[in-house]
Formats: sequence, structure tokens, C-alpha cells
Amino acid sequence: MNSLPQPEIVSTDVLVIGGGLAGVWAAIGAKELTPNVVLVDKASPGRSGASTFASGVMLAPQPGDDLDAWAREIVEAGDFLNDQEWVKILLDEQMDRISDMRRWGIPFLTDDKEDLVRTMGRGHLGTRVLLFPSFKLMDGVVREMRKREIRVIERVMITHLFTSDGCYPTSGRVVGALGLNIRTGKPIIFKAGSIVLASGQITARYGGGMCDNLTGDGVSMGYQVGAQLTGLEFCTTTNLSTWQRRFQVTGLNMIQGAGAKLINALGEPFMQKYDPVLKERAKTVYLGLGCTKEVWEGRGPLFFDMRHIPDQSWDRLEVVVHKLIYMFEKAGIDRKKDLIEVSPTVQFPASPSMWGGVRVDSSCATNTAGLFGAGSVTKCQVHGTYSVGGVNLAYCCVAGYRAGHSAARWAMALGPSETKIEQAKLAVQKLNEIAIRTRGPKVDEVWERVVALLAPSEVGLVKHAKRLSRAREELGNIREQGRSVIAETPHELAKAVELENYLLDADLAIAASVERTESRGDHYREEYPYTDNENWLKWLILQRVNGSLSPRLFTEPVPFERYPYQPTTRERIPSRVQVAFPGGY
Amino acid sequence: MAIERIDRELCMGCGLCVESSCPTDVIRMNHREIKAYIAHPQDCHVCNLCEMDCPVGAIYVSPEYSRRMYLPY
Repeated sequence: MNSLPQPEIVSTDVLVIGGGLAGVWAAIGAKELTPNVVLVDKASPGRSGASTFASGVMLAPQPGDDLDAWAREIVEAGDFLNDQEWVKILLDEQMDRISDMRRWGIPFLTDDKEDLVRTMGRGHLGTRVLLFPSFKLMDGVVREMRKREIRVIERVMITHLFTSDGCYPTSGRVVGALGLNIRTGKPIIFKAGSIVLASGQITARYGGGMCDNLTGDGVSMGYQVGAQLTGLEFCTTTNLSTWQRRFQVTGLNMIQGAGAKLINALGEPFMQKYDPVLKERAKTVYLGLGCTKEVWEGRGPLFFDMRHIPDQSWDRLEVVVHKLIYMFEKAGIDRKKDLIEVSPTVQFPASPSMWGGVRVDSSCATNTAGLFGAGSVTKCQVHGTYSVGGVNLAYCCVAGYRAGHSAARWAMALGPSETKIEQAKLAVQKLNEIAIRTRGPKVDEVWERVVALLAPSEVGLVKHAKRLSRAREELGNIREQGRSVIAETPHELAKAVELENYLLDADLAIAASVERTESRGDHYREEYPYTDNENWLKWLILQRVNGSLSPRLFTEPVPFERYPYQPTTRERIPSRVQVAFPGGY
Repeated sequence: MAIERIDRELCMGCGLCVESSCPTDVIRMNHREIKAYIAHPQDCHVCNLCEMDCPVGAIYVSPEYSRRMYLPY
């Protein structure tokens, strides 16, 4: 393609990057304090980000609930790595966010007295979630944002952040960003008093998560300016959702709830061996581990058996998993007669449940001045490892709104941005280098290599230092190849930047996984299968400290002296994975 | 595979799929004919938003992936 057209300049107090649930809440929060708020999205708010495809459950504390018991449940489920101050904030403020959204007409499920209907999902004991159609949630909050006359710039991807001293990492502050219109190629130089990263999770182009464009851009950009990252070692996700090796559908857990079974090639239902209580309703990482073990031990392929589910259950399911049933019909699958081959996908690194990302404090500030974060670009510190379902969306609302307020206050205190035009020009030049390149691999070719490298269970699910290090080395070769990709259109140019971001995030996640020499939450190390409360009740932090992109890794003990909920033991205990798979791998 | 068809007869060129629905920029507008067309099929992640949002039912998304799927074992 030709070199890019002349950039346009947009000045604002607060720039929000990303228009999912967290970004929209941030924009609404910021606009309460300053008139100058711009939200930029590489797609279109309301149909962008993972929120659109969220499961439709949101943690819903209400006045009168025993919040102490809720907090305790969350901290225990999160393996005590939770930031307990954040847990309290979430529970307190989520009530207000729910009231706001009810006032805005979001159709949360209510009973005939118009009280919220609250229910239990995966992993809930005393905590409760409310239900809603996720499209309608996003439609509703976006409608509110538009009412407030917040400027929204669509189909523009942020590719670089600018710093006051022109350095990466910066010892000054973040003062702006470069945007690229993915259709016209027009660059936009944003001068901003402060920035809220709300650009979403890390995922590769595996498909199935329906978030192929959420490539951890904000994690990478935040890291590059010097923001600390945390929790990256937990970023493994397993979806049991690949049907007939051809397509993916989510919503499976609802069918499992109706009694569907997972069976191996011998016709045996196998999950009861690994989780006698929850069986098929076990956490997805255990489903992934269970499937892997069956196949590794020669009992694959595996099937989903829903032949015995009665018609009246299907009538109910039709309402909640309409799309899944529709997909079966499209694919010509007879769910009442066919056994359907299923397989998990293992995505590593991937952070749909906010296991890892940019580290923010309780005001949603990163350690880099002027840079704030909310939603799944950040590590949700309410969770610890991972606590209970529904926290993610609640965190998007609470953290988004907080980030908006904090960013607006910061911008107003500091006055206008001092974006240096030279730094912006340099960033445009970097994009131009890719744009005018005529020879090199296509972006998709490199994606294919990285997905093939990181997809196997033995890399990101059953981890071992030897295999992780080998993968990191190969990833280095792929990154080298990634530096010479070509882009024939602005669309491809944006994908080239996405690829670069993901490759950096993957390198950091592998480094973090090697560093944590224990198993905890969804991080399972074959050579350290136990949970080590003696040495690892700690947060692992990665930070860029010089011009190179290699991280400095360090830990911070969880400050239990300030916290109400204490771990029951400070010794080694069997990890959750060890309990489920006593024979090991 | 993935997004397969935009029916030219049905498409009225409203641009909803182009401007708003598709998160991965698969669909673009042919401004001369005022019809949406599939520009980047390899980037379709089968979310079905376009098919769901299309007011005249002009779009068909096959459930099958166009790219190779990598299994973990």
C-alpha cells in the first residue's frame, strides 16, 4: 500500500480506548467531571469487545446481603491472591451501578413485583448473579453514552501511546496516542490529558471466543510505556466448544446443566472420575484437563451426548441457548440422535476472565502517570486467581466508572497535554515502514505459526519449565518473522500491529509462567503440582525498565496484615488440580 | 464457510453491518452500487452479529470456521 495520509489532530481531556462495557462506563464517568471526553474504538461500541458476547450474568449484591460472607467466599475461591480492598469496593459500588443501569432501562430479569431475579451459576455458594441478554446491556449503556454527547470515534485503532519525555518506558506521564483509521489509513494524533485503557482481553485468533480482534493491545501498549503487569501466569483458558473439529459454540454449560454427558471413545462418562461432585459442571479448566488426560491415555476421541435430554428441557433451553441450537441446525447436527465429537481449545495466553493484565490500584490508576485502566485489559484484582462468575461484568461497571472519574480529575489538575509532535511523527513513520514494505510474510501466515505453537495442552495447560522455555525460544523466531510482515491495506496494517501486540504479551505470559514455581488457580506446573502458601502468597509483577522489551520480574507479598480474610495455612497444600487429578500427568 | 453470502437482491445498503455490527471489519460498502460486500472473509470469527442485526435477512453466516482450528492434543 502507499504511505499513510497526513494525520489529523484531536485534543481532549480524557481519551478512553475501547468501547466495551468498561470503556463506555469510563466515558460516562469522565463526562460527569469534564466536558472533553473522546472514546475511540477499532470497531463500534455496542458490538465491540467481549462484553457483547458475555454470558449475561453479573454479580449482584443488594442492600441487606451479608457482604462479609460474599467477600469471604470470593477471597477463598480466589486462592487468597485477591486484593481485598478491591473486593470491598466492588461489592459496595456494584449496588449503585445496578441502580443506575436499572434507571437506564437495562432489561435485567425481574419478577412480577419488579424485584431483580438473582440466581446461582458456576461456583456460587452464597453469592448471586442477575441475568440479562448481553446485547441489550451493551445497547443500553451505549444509548446512555450517546445521550451524554460523548465524542465517539469508530474504526480507529490505537497503535502507540505518547509520553511527556518522549521515552519508553517513561519517567514522565502519558500525554496522548496515535490512532489509525483501519479503513482509510488516516492517522489521528490524540493529545490527551489522561488516558483510560479499556481495550479488552488478550486472545489469539483461535476463534470460538468471538473475540479474534481482542489481541491484548492495551496490555502491550501499557507495558511499553512502563505500566506494571500482573497475573499473566494465570492466563490460560479452556473452552470445551469445538464441535466436529469444524466450528465452535458457547453456552454448553446450560446443556450440561440439563444433563448432557461427556463420554470417551469407550462410551464411558469420564468427568465423574475427576470431579465426582460437579462432573460435567466442573470449571472449564478441569474439563480441559480431563479431556486432555483421556486423550493422552488413548481413550479419545471424546463426544458430547445429549440424546437423552427430554423434549421439555429442550423447550426451556431454546430460550437461553437459542443460538447454540440454531448453530446445530445450521450444521446439520441432530442433537436427539447424534453423538457429537467435541474438543477443548486451550488458549494461552488468553485473559477473558481477567486473570492477568495491566495492574491498577483502587482508583484504577496504573503506576504510569496519566494512564488508567478498567475491564479485562487490567488484572481484575477482585478475583485473585479466579473467584466466582459474574465478577467480570460487575468489575467492568465499577472499575470503568472509577477509572473515568480518576482520569478526568487527573486531566483537569494537570491541564492540556504536551504531546510532542516529533514522537507522533516517529510513530506514524513506524506504521509507514510496514505500509510501504513490498516483500515479507502475510500477517495471517505468522498468526498461523503462533497459534500452532501455543495451542497444545502441554504448553499452556499442563505447564513445564522445559517446554515453556522451548516455546519462548520458538516464539522469539516467530517475533523475528513478525517484524517483516507486509500490509496491503489499512485493515492489514491494523492486524500487523495486533500481531505485534499479541506476540509481546505471549512472551511476557510465558516468562511469568516459568517464574511462578507452584500451581494455583488455573496455573498448573507439572514439576510444582502443589499450592505453595509458604512462598507464593505473592503477586508476580512484570515491568519494562529499559529500552529493551524484556521484563523485570519481581514479587510483592499479599499484604495480609491489612486484610480481614486470612489463609488457613501458610504451608504447601495440594493444588486444586492435584485434588482433581491425583495421579498427576 | 464463516460469512458466506450477502444477498444482493435483499441488501438495501443500509450499512448497519458495515458501520456497526461487524467487530472485525469483514464487511464493507460498495458505494457505487450501495450494497454491502464481504471484503475480508478470513477475519470472520463467526459471531453472527451481522446476520442477527441485518434488518432484511440478507446475510448468511455458516457455523463453520474458514481458518484451520488447532486442537490441544
